[in-house]
Amino acid sequence: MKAHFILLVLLAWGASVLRAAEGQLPTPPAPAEPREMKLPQPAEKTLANGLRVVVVERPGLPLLSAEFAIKSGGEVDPPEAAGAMSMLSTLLMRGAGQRSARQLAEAIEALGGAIDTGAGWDATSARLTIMAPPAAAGLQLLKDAVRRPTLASAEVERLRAETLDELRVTMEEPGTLARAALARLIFGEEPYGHPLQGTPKSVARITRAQLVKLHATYFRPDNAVLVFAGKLTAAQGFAWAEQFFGDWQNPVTPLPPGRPAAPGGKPRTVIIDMPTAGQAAVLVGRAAIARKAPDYLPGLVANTVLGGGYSARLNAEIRVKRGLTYGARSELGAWRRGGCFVAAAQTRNSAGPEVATLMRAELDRLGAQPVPADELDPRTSTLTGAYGRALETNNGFVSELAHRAVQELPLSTLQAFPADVRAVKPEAVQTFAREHLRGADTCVVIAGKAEDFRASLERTFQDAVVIPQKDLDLEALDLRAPGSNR
Amino acid sequence: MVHGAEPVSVPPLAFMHRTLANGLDVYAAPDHTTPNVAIHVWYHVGSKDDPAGRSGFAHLFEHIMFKGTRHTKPETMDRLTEDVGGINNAFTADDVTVYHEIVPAHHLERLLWAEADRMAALKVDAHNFQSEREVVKEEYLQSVEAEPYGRFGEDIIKKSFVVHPYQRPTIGTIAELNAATLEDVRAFHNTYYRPDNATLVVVGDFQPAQLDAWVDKYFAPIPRPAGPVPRVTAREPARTREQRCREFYPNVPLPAVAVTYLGPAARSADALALEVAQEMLAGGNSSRLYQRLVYEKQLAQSVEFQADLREDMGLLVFRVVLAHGRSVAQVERALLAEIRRFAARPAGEAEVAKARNRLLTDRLHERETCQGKAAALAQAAVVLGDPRRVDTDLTRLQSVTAADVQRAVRTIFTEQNRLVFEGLPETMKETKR
Repeated sequence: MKAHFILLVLLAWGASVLRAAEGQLPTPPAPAEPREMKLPQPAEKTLANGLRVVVVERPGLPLLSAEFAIKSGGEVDPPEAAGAMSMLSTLLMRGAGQRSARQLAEAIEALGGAIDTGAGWDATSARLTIMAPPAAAGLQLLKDAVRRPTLASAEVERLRAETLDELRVTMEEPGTLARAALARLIFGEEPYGHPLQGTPKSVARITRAQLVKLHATYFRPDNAVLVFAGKLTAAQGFAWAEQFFGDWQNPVTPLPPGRPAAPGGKPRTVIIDMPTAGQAAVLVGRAAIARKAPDYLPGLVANTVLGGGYSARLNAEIRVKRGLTYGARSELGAWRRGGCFVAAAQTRNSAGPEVATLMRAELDRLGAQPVPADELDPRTSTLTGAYGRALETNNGFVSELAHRAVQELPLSTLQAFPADVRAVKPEAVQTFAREHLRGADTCVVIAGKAEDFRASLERTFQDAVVIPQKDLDLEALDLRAPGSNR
Repeated sequence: MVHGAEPVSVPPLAFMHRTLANGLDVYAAPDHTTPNVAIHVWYHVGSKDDPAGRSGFAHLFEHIMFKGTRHTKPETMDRLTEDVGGINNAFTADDVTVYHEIVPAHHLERLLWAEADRMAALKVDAHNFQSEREVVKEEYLQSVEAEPYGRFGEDIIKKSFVVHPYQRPTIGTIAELNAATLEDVRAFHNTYYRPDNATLVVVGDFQPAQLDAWVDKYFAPIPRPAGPVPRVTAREPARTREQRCREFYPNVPLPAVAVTYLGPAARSADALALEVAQEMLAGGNSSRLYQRLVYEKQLAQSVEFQADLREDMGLLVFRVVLAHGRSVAQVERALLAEIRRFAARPAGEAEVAKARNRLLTDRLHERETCQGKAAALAQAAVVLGDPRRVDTDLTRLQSVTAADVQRAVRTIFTEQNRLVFEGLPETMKETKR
């Protein structure tokens, strides 16, 4: 064995090349003819009480998913009670109908199913995933969870303690802190400006009365959608919707109007100094567009070119070319009343400001010249390919359809999305970048060990404000705890 | 079936198998309901095979596999996948290194060409090697140093094995990553990246005869090197008495406790029963440990249990992060009491049926995608040693009983087979516990 090993080492490349000498062509073969993606057509119906029901039939595996979503999320958290809708969404499964929290968990898990709940921006949802035979029993539990949650005081207190402990852990992650700080810089006190889960201070303040009121105000059939995908017929889905939700009455009071989002704060650079951080999180972002904005698709493509995958520009420059990160990405959050663009990466502490500068430069480059066709085409393929893969699953279908129903977009965009994306022109991407992604207009947040990058910070971000981690207050507009040193 | 009466019948995954003359195992399962195809190449080499003084090397090497061959430039895999709406990735585990792609089906031949190309010969220059090593160091910082419980997680593994190379963390250490050379890369490829140490799995929209022809064209010419593939022979001794240890960390906001037990290998007859045990103990909000430690007594912020069965042996790990204000001793006592209770007497049938139903649902979800099917088939063929288990395990899983579970855990959850490891905030160093 040893002799064999030494021989291989001595031959080095020679050995490898010999092994490959036969048969291997120097260039890849050409692709074959593309095949069409066939998507099933969703069926829809609105019940007399206003509940919109959508069904996609996917025969095959004995599985189905059902998502119940209300069209209100963390943006309706009462002032001073950030995190309330998120807390309410968790409490839906902590006791409902005749069942205690434990009985509800036992009941759904005995069926081999799950009901996952959560609050996002513009939507709060409860999703049932279950094998087809026991689906009706699962829907009964879903019905109780969304219509008749107990919201017991003891459960509120238990969840508060759990959430505070979870925040104790996540507030030590540079990425989580930086993200929460950036949202506050971009949106101020307006909707979308706070962490969905709340802050340690706000979670401590939320009252049971606020949660009960949130449920009474927003959980109503005319503010909700129900989407099915999987092994069921449209007729069965509509019948189940009628059986479990048809007798649900709307309150007489109208739904309160939403608050508009802030137009976007002025550009600022904030350093959160975390003396024990093992790495720095770097975020560059700014307010962008709402979901229904006419330039949403160019925005989506612009984001994909910048940070929508391994080969996108941010990762190519920061990871592939320079080895400064394990991954650089960006996202375009586009909601009912506003949205934002965020580029993010984690890097060694010493490289924090360098990575932020590289990100801003890439934003400017996208506005400076149109994306060449041989780059735009592969990046839009990344987008349509991911979409096609998501639609291999029932959960993928209910996510895409619930999103459209919640944002009141035509369901036909399910079929049209790939072609619509491919129709986006390079000029539209460039225009979007010029209007919404100028580097100088962005806010920058670096959460990490400031000592390791202070010198480069002074060269590149002279206006940076350094806030020690212990003085950070995510509720304050300037992110500083009252009374802390400036 | 819901209460364990009628087994759910799942259509079998109709797959084909052949072994090429050079030793490459090929599994294929056509599925014409998807426009995509998933390609998996599993190499039977993992972090337990890291060369001496090169902790983290198998994983670093996995990254280098994307950095060019005799015929291709770095990042060619991304050109062939991402650029046409596909995706690629890879991961390194203790026993295997896995490369996988999903592409629109009409690109299948190109990916077979590319996988054969990098199996046959890598050609990486010093610049690309060094730059990718920096990326891996950032991966280390992100997953170990910047994560509140990252170092604690690494230490659980290090402290759980005395002799076996499973004690080495897959990601390695900065010093040993820095020591790696291009020469190591060449030697590692020659030693382990050979057709008789690899398994190709293809699932999706293709014609089997066409696939066979392409496999013959691209993979069959790769020669099988002489001599066997070296294997780890170290054997971890059985534990003979309870061990206790403690470390302090700068960014651990709440104290944590891990309890580990050595267990059987992945191919053990008890593997499915241990999977059911994992689900019963910590699988959902009605699981025992969540109910007792998180919900009822509010002793823990989180509780996890994983029966990680590997090729040579298994490691069963409990991980608890304490709730604010609780004492480590109190939480340890409660956790150990639950483990003892679980091993002492069989659970009720309803509790076992619940776990079985949840696991079955998970496996059905896995079968929704060609990616999931390819991974399950490869796992059965490579790790479990019998590809038919991709189907037969679904039936066997539904017949696991409470007695099976208890029999499996009784000999594992003993005091002498136990390691108790506390990961504490540095601020607790000065104060008495």
